[in-house]
Amino acid sequence: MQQISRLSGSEILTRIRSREISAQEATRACLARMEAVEGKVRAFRCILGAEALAAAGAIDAALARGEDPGPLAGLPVALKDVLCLVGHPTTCGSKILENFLPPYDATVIRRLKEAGAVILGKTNMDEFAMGSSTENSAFEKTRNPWDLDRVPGGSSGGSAAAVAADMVPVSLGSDTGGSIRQPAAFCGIPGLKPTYGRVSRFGLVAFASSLDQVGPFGKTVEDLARVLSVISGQDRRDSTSAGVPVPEYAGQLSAPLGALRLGVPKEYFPAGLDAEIGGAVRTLLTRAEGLGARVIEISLPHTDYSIPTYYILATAEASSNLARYDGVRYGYRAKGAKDLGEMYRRSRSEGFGGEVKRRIMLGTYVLSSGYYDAYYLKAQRVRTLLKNDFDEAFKKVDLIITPTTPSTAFRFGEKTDDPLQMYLSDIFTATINLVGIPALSLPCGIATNGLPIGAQIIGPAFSEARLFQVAAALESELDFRSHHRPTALDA
Amino acid sequence: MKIGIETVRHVARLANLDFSDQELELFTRQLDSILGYIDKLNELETTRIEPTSHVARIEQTLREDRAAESLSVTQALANAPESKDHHFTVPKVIS
Repeated sequence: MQQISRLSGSEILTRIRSREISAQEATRACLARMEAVEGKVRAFRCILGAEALAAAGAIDAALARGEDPGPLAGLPVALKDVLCLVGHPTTCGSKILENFLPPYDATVIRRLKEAGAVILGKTNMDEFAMGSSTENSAFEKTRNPWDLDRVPGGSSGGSAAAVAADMVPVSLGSDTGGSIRQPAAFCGIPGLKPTYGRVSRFGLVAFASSLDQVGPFGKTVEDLARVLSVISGQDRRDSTSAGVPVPEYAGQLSAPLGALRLGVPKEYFPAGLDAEIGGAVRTLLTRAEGLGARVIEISLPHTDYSIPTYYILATAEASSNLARYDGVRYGYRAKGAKDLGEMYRRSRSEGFGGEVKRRIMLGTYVLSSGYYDAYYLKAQRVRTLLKNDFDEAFKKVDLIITPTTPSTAFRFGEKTDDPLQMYLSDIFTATINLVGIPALSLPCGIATNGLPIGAQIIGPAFSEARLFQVAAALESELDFRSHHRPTALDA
Repeated sequence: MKIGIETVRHVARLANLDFSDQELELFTRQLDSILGYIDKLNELETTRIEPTSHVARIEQTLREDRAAESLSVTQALANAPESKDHHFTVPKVIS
């Protein structure tokens, strides 16, 4: 039998349900793989071995009694350390939350547990999800399983690397400007940012509340579909969660594609685009045509304005959200301050890292008296233009396909001295959060440097079922997973 | 220059952050470069465009305003750096 840790989440679920393997065997296989490779990858902040084995044992006992322990019974999962897990440190990659023990579970975690999933650990990330390489973690650098000298992407770099390295079949990340899709592309796995409001944000440590969304990484599109059905849905604890019915996404994957119009926005294939990345995405489009799709060139005319708009709105919201870290109710407090003001300033200055401070400063500046209209209000107006671009495009096409990233995974330190260059890693992904629509990154090729390339498939709000169908059809055409796997860990 | 060191010092006060002079200089340079890039938005005429603050659907998920089970005082204080008699403790407010 194939090594359990190499299986997809869906394959593991099927084998557990048929009692071919036990939930404990699946968990043990993941723990053994962690033992072997985590020292090289460093994807995890904490590993919950004993608890995971106990939870898996309970699933096996329920199955033995003939009960149904839920749609994800026995599925090993890892969680980005931005999600509150009751009783375990939730650091958000920050010194300021190093000793924080959440008194409650995030709604997505509660739903995973109720569905029978087994939580194996919390994964490393850029501090407060701010970054594109996971180098901004206050604790450790996570390495890309395809090339240990390169970053896994970010900010959900630990969750992406954990799946790519076969330590878990699925994981959760969060995506504010590309933080699921970009690491998915860099690590050669599928990852989804759902529609804004599809998944509850309760218990997700806030970065930019109008942009943040939780979503899955997996070995296959079917893995994403199975997890999304469990974590989605209205939540009375998140007023922005949508009351849109949640389908059994995985059950609809093989529905016929029918007439499919795929839009290719010319602004996402600029003259200077990396030729191998452009080529891989165009090859994918040719495959789609082979499946009967019509490929239509479209325009999203305000694309060039998305990164400036994103960095005004995201930092403004962040500066407001991160005002809560004041050393009073939780988190780090500086010692020996003479008065309250000094305690606030020193706790924040000692607790936050450089990139978080930079974004708080930018956000505070664009919201400050005299600059609000020129920056914040201006960016909100451009956000409307960006949204209109997509509304117009979706009158002509069903889905849009672009590269996920302008480059393959870069080297450690390559962009850390120039924040603006790091921000431009999000150039193809950040607009999607501003517009609030879903997008999935699918591995579509390998560059000559041996690193994976991702294609981004974008749909209108709440079109996840359609996104999954098309992504699954293309996935089976390319069969990337059978042809390519990271070899840096086999040595 | 889009932004000078005195403005950065002022913004740091607003944000409750302390910086050394060296850090202030670095941040001034970096913020200036980012703001220079952001200036691109001024190419667009937007006075007649409505701002979008949020893309969530209009109808919000609201629940009835009724008391329900919540965290106990002990749980709520468990993460506090300092607490005493059911209160968060802080240094003197006025020194």
